[in-house]
Amino acid sequence: MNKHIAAIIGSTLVWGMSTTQAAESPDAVNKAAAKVAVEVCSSCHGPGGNSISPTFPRLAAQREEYIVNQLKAFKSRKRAEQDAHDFMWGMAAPLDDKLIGGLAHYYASQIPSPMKPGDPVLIAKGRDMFEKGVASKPLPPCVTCHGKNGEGIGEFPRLAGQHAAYIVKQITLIQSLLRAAPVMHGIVSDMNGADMKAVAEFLQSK
Amino acid sequence: MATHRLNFLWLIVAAGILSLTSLPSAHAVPSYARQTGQQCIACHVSFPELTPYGRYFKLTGYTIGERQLLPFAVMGQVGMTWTQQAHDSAGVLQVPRDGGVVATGGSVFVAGKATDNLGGFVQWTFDNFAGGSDISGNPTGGTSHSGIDNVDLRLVGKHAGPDAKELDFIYGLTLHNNPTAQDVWNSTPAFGFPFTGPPFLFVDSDNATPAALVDGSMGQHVAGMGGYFFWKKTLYGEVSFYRTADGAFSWLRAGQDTASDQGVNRLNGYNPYWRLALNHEWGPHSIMVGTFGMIANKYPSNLVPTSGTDRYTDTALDAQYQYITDPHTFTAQVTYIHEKTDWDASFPAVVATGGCGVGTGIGAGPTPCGSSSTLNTTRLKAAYYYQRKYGATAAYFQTTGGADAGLYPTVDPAGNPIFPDQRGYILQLDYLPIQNVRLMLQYTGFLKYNGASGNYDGLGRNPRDNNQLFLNLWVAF
Repeated sequence: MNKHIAAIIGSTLVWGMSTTQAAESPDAVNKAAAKVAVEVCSSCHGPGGNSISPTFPRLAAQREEYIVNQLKAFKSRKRAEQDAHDFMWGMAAPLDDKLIGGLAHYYASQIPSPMKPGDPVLIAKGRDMFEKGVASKPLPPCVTCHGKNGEGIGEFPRLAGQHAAYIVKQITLIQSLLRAAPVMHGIVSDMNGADMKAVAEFLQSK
Repeated sequence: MATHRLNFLWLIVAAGILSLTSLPSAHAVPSYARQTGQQCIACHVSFPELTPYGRYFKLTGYTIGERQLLPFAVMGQVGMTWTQQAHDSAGVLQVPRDGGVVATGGSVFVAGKATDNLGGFVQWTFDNFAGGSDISGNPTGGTSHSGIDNVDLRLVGKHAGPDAKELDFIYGLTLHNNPTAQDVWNSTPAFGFPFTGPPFLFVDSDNATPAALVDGSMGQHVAGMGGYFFWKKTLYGEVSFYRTADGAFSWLRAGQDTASDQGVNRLNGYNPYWRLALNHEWGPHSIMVGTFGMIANKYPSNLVPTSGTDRYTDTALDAQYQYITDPHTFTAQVTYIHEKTDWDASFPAVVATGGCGVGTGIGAGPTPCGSSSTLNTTRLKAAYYYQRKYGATAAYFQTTGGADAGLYPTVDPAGNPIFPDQRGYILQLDYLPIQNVRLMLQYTGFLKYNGASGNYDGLGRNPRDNNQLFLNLWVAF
């Protein structure tokens, strides 16, 4: 029995010894980031950021600044909705600023694959809301910050080609203040479920 | 009755205290969660059933995340069982602690990443009733209560082409001690449903349902080593070989009863196991269709490794479907195992009563009345979870096989043919107040037992008399 216990203690010690190497040059950082993206991130966010499951956002061609901000928000735990807590806090924790930048660069450089468009009536309604807003709500035109085709501007995220279910969930979380997004809280406060669904279907079709 | 009420209250209070004391600490979860910083639901629909990411994590050798200095986790269960008819026909209680609280035991895990290519887990379990129990529920027997449980150690490699956007290949080597414990789909026996069950059944000399060798009969008896690959999340293949866990591998069966005739199963040489699975993921859906099986040469007696061997050929088909969204999750598994046993060593055998055998066999182990036998096991399970917190599961199980009075010696005064058949269902409700605490209410109903739909023992006992309601608290930190 003692031999067995010694074997387990020995294996525990081996498990406990850890070293990590941080990549330094820009090329090395990008290479390290691509390795992390391919070997780890792709398991949920899909190949090149084109995720399959609507639980996980599509990151292909996402704005570089936006990814940096989000990864830092996960790391600092400022972004604290349930999914951020369950999935991303741990993933972001070991990332340093260089690797965060490398991952943002990697995903911003990826080519998004087309999504299957949904109900054309819903898409048309969503397009109208996205481009013109709804004065009576009031809901300002989304294009102002998210770009004419939802491609994103500066640190405002790309929404084009995103899973509709993911967009609806994020608007709901922002509306209920579960996801911190100060700019968006007031904008989406009057959106109802049908509004969210229409805009989301339009964006998924882009 | 008053005692039962008190026990029930105690269980509820314990669950409440555990839940409350656990709430403030989101990191009070097992070592893989501490390693990845992620929560249980990233890898589990509800533990131990794996999500697509959980399968990826396991196949990549448990290496995602940061290595922990102290990669430990603990697990324990406490529950209560109520049996439909806990007394036999003479009015004697035959289910230990029926209606009473039973702490079955607990486990300690060393689990996690060792290097970027090496990881695994070693589970050490204290089983309060490893040596059996008297009718009052007091542990008996000389067997060690503490011993090795499941082990899975992996050395993995990953391949991605120069422009690949995800891994093309995951490949690896595995060392484990329970056939299918290395598998990642929950339609295989080691981590298949039910994930846990009542610690005590109706005490009946014949109530051990025959099970195929690959179906849990060799857990912690053998050393399994093999290689596997997973290509583009589509095709999984594995070949492993199982041998008796003795010599350098003896730690893989530490704590087992190796001194008794049937204490552990002993294999001759290295016995092949195969696994092939087609996997497809789309949107929130994933599906797998596969086959697994093994051919094993087993000595009739653990203590006579010089005799001939019986040959077991197990062939299985399995499938799994998962639909995972927030808040709805639905999963289903189907498993069919066909076992053919050639009793090359055990037949013909002398049977003390029943009188089918006239030969000698090896004088120990199985006493079949025929030169071969078959056993077919079918399992179906479907589960729904809301918010991964509230679950409902329905399952069906069935075992059939040929009649053999030597293998299935039920005492039947009517002299009916003796079949191993068993059939029944499980209905289960789960509540997970936090992700690493499972409170479950499980009802197991029997429709057929020991080959009979009624009066299976000739003394008037029916299969439904063995039905059990099981309330269980399962905690892992």
